[in-house]
Amino acid sequence: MVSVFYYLLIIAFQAVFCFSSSVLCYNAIDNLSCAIGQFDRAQAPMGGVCSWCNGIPSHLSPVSRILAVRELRVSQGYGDPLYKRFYDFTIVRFYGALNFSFAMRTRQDVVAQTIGSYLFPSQCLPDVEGQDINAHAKTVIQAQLSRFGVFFNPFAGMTECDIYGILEMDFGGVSLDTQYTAKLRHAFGEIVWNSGAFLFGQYYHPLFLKECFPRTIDFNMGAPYEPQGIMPQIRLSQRFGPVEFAIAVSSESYIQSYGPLVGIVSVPSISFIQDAMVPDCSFLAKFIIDSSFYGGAFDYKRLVPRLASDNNYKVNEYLDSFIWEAFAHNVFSWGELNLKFIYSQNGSDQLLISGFAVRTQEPITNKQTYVNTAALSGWLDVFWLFYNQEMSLGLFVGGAKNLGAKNSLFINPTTNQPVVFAVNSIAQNVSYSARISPRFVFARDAFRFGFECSWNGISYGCLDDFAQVVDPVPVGSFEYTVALDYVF
Amino acid sequence: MKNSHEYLRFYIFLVLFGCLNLKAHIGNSPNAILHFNLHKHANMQLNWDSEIAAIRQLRVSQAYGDPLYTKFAPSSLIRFYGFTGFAMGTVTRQVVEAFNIASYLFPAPYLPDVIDRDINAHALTFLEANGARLGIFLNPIAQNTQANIYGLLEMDFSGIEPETAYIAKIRHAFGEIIWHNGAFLFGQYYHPLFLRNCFPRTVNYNMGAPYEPQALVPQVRVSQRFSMIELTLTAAGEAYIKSWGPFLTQTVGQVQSLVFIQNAIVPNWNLEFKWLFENTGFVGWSFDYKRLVPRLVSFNNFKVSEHIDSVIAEVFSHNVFYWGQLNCKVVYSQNGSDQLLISGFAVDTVDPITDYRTYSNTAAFSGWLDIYTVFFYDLMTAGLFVGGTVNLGASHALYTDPTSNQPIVYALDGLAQLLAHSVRVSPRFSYGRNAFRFGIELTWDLAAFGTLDDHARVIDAIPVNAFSYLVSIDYVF
Repeated sequence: MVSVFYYLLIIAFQAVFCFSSSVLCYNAIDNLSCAIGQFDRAQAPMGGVCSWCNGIPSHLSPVSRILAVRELRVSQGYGDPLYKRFYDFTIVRFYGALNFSFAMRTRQDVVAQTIGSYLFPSQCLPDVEGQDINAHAKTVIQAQLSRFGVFFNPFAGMTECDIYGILEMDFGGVSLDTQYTAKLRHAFGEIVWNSGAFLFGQYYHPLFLKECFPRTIDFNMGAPYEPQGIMPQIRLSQRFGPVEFAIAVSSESYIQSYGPLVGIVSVPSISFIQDAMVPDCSFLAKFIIDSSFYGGAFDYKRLVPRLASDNNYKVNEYLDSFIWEAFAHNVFSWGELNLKFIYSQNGSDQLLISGFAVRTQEPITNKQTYVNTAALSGWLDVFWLFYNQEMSLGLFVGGAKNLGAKNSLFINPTTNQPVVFAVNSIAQNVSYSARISPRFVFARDAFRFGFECSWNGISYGCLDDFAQVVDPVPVGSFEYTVALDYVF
Repeated sequence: MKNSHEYLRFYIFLVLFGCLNLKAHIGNSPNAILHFNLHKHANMQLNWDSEIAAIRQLRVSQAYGDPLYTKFAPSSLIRFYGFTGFAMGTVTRQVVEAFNIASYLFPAPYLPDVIDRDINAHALTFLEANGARLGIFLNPIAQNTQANIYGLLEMDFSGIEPETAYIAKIRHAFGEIIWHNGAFLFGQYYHPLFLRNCFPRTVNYNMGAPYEPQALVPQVRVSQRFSMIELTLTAAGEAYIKSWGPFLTQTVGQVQSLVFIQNAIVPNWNLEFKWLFENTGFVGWSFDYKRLVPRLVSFNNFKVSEHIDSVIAEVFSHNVFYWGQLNCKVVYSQNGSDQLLISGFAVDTVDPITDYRTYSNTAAFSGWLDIYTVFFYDLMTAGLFVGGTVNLGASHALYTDPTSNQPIVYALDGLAQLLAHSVRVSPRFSYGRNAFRFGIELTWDLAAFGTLDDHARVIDAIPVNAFSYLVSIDYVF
């Protein structure tokens, strides 16, 4: 019986982690011993022997009395009993950039504090004499968005099947109050095999493609036109000939959905997706031609905005939302041309301008139903490499259009407006927005210099009963950004 | 050990070798494949065209520099430890969390709506990766010398409150001088009530809270072994897991703060005794004393001299067998909110003129047993955690707040004082092979919340249940 149990466990692991070949899975984990310099079972009190560094013994004994060696184990939590990694050092690859950026904008801005970056110009804000308060320029000088990453087992990927880990942080915090504190960006492990991979941990949401994204000098990387989520997830990718599929189950992290707090107060919170019980599910398909690919992604998400109404009735409210995107990643001899179109519902967790709104409100219990507001966005990013590939010229063009809701909405009698929850509690009033930003980059060894000019046009207005923006007032903003980096 | 020069030479060799390789390849075209021949038998290289996310991430992380990125060198060398990974779980009920350890404590109490339906009877699913830990072990060859020193710095990314989730938080930062039969530790590390050998190996990060003391505190600690006996004496403060007490100016509610123990002047003292058995574990006890000063000024603006003294005592047993371990502990605690225990302290008397107050501890008993077996070539474990706690209230009648008609008790999350008892049973399974680790844990929790009598004992308690599963997948380094 015990043998049968072991056998079933092995089969289960192979089935989960080796989509194409159960044998490869074990190869992957075995190969790790070679790739990372695994020591021969450091089980003896004096440790083991490093097999790749010609007999240098490990000093770290599993039965050591010093606290640090014990902490190697205790830090693993439940993994302590199985811990065997008692070698003296780890092989890691540090990566990142120490960044300085200098930007000047001709208008006050709306910033996504979660990514520490610019989204769009602020709306027209009249004073008592009708003068626009936000029509005032600003200069932003910052360095806290420097990034530091650790790549564990950098030799992975050269074998048929292997495993590695990544941990990356920046120092932008998650809010104004936490700026300059280290924030976790990526923390994942990935098992890779010939034609696929299994990723577990925090990484870009599948709607963001690691090859096909705007290479803007601004850290916004195309927000609010390009999805920006960094999520805890498990993701399985598999390639079949020229076609690659990926399926992911994820949640939210520091970029969170906006929803109600009390009444019409809108806040970002992770509770909305946690209380939904159903995780965010994504599916992605790519058709690969040489180094280029074309494809689409589909994302489904459910939120539970509240557990109790403002009148303290327990409620069972939820909202289902979808995001679709189509993308093209074109690699040429001279550079790349990437583009993407996105239809989004309730995309505030991706820093998109769509959200959700209160559709009906029951007057006694305050129970509400909700409906999505939608948006279309698209962008094109092209760059050309020249001068021995030390310089590049690029251009980003993006735009978004608010489509509102498909149903008539509940109108808040106080404001005479629908109640809509969207990015920064302001994106629902954006009718459309557009950005054009050419850039120049020079990089030699560790030094990098970038210069980018941006023109942003945006139009804010009031909402009708379909959350469509009426009487929009356009505002424009011009910006330049200079960046200097040490890249490692 | 032959001598440490051998290692020094080896490190220098690796560093120089890495630098030379790096220099040799600076300026290569992006499509060049960079060779790094450290490994004698493997073709060590980072390939520009690699499809794996990490190598691409070297580029993507540079943001706009991606097209010009050419730095595909694979070298860096230090002893890091920790893990990155993913945890997913569903709890059948809303929960009470300890945000400073970003983990589940017990099910949320019954919360009726206007027609008496329980609002908290709603499940939640969480997916998270910010429990990832990164530690740096400085001078890892310290252990085999007669007397040496090393350092350790460890962080995770769960922050200390909901607003700082995903922010790096320091967990451990200490140095330790070690000699033949003792050690002197200075810095932030587990409180001595938490034993590094004898703790619940739960898949959940809570490691047995609120049944097991959980604090990480700045401390100085000296340990000395006398034959089979080991004695440890510690002086400590508090860190991000703090004691709960009154607001400075607000008469209602409670808050956790470092001020209470700082104003006490006296640090937290602990004495620990262990009787060691050769290779089979140890038994022992630990005694802890703490003083808090809840306020410097009364709510009526009189300067006051208030304090509360508390003790925590525990006995433990760490049993090592050829098939695994059995660990258990029983804890009697007064005012244990800084250890994530359910005991606290209460207002004993109030002077009606000056608002000068005296205080009394509320106490709790807790105990747990954790057992696991290691099998299948030491690659798998099956384990079981069983824990429970009961609120003992205060030893005498307390002041009753005329507004709420309840005693004023300060305890964990401003809520634990209402917990009559709680129980947890959680079996688990884990699989670990080299860097890969997988764990699954099922948990049943029961907690009974009620109101307080004048001895801060819980009456009319309503039990609530929660069942949860937790799946964890990690890369361990």
